[in-house]
Amino acid sequence: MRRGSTRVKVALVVGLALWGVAGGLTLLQSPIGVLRSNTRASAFIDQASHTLSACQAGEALPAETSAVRLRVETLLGPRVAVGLFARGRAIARGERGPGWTGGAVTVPVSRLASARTGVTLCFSVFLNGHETAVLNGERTPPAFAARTGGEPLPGRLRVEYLRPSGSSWWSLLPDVARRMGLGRAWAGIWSALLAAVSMCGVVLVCSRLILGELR
Amino acid sequence: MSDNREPRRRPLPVGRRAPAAGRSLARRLPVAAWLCACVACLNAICWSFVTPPFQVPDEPEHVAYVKQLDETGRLPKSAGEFSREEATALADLHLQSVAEQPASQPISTRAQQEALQRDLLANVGPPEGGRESAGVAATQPPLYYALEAIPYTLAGAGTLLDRVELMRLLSALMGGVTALFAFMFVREALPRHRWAWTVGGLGVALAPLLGFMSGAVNPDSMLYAVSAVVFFCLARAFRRGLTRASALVLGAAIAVGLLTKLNFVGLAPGALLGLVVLSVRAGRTLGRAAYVSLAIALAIALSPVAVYVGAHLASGAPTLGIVSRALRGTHGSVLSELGYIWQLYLPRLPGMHSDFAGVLTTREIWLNGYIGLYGWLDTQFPGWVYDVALLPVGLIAGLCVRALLASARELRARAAELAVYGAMCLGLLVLIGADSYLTFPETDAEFGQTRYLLPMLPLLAAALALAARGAGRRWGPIAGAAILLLFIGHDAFSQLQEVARYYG
Repeated sequence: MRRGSTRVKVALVVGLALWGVAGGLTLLQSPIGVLRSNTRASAFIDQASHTLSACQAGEALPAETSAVRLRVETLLGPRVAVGLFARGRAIARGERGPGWTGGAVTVPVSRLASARTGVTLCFSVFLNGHETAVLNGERTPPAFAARTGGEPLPGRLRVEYLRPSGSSWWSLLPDVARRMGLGRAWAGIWSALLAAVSMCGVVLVCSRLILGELR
Repeated sequence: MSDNREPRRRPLPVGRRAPAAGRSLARRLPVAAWLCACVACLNAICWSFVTPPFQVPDEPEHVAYVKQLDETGRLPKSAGEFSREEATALADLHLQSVAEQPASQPISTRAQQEALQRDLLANVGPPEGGRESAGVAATQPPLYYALEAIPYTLAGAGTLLDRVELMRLLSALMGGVTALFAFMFVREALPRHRWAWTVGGLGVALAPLLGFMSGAVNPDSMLYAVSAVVFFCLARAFRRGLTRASALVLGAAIAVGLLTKLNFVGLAPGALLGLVVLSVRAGRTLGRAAYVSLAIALAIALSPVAVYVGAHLASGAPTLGIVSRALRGTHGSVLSELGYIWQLYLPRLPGMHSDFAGVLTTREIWLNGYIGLYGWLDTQFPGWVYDVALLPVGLIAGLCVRALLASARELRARAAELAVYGAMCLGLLVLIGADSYLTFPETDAEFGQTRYLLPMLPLLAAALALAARGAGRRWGPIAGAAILLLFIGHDAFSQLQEVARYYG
């Protein structure tokens, strides 16, 4: 019985240590930030319930772009594919599987080493004929609009280009803690502190239970 | 090994009233059960601090319901606008631009906070009247909201956000009740291995989706709790026999469920079936007295339905209210609807029309929704997390199946009990599917949210306990510890994801 308890103790220590390391490594990462947006507008452009493929030219891509966020809104998001082309050649591609939801979908793409202008962004939203997806962005004259099958849409899809920011989560902790207190009953960092204390309490009680009961 | 098993109890004589059963039960609750409840409660409190006010599905509507009920004593309506106080708070918090928009974040400057505080204080005062809208929440029964009116009143001198914070704490307590009864359910359903109860109870307590929903103003938190109570009552009665007291408690729990949220309608038929099966068993030894208990329990359980129907008939509304409207609103053939409901959960069978082309619903709606989909369904992990998660999910499922296969004989002996749990699950799944079908094909899966499945949390607890047992006596506790450590990490990183989404 004692050997069993020792094994559980070792499993607990190793497990918590692994999560600690994973948490530390996560805090060393940088949050994804918006480098550039092709427009600030979020007007209704079009909607579709069957697979929609469209391209829009004249996109300017910042260096180190590693994901693009498309303002496509739906309840049960389908598969989405993105391709970025310069002078007819693919410079980055990416795909996002189905199951997302909300007003925007972020698609990871292969990282761009340098900034590019005059890029054509092509996207495909693989709808199944039922669910409707709404495209939001900026209404434009046909000459500047996104095109599908050679026909212009009523405007351009809003696209944001993202990359990890320069600061790590670790260095942003004070700011994150401050922001957690905003929009609440009492401003201040008490929300962050109480959340941290509660989580520590959860881990402590769980550890006590695991060691005490799992024998 | 004997010290690790619960002592075999002599079953109570069927039909005889257990003396002070409630008090006795409370005294006999293991410390581990209380600690599981404590963990669930703390976890939900943590989630309530992490999640910004109103950034949980339909929280504005549920708060409006409580506000209306508390301040006017009347039930709300679906149409109309929110009260001035709540509308001001929602506008200052930029709800419209943040909810379902993962690119947008809540307020982030001191000036915005000061404007919010100024507007909130300007609205503190005598209760408003005449703004009766609670949107989608208005069709729900009033019990949860009546209970939430207590913290709402206690914080009445503060701003609306003060009241929301306190209301969230009551929901967190309900999260604790859910974990407590999930533990007790496992204890009754799998009584032989004491250590495995903790794996089940603590697994539920650490479920991130339970923490997220119990850290918000939402009747789902109470629905999970009362569903866990019903599962526990059934398991206890199947193990120890149905007494009059336990029949009445089960009937009362079903009534409370029906008064909590309409979704309980899905669980109720299975629970009532359990009551009937248990009464028939008891009737073999007790005769007529068992059926008298059944009649009283059914009368208690179904009394909310009678009141609901009576109120609608008296007001000239459709007999079953929103249920009548839903029945009238259905479309297509029964086969089409059944095919849709099947595909909402499972891969399409040959011959079925494809309703979810390109979407593997089991994984992409339900499993991914459990692994991580928070906020207004706009907060997700990076895509690779859902792929990696398949490994532990597969391992846990495999161990669980192994334990079930090893207990095949016992399972056969408990077929009636398992059929009752199955009927409860089936009822809930069909209810969610049928409701989603009302808006299909305009929307693929309107109610395709994993939170709607959480009333079945006690069965998850049992599955986790079985998985730990499936690793064998020697490795079982290690497997149990590994499962719980996995759940701790899942919960912590889910909260970090929420922090990154709203404050990063």
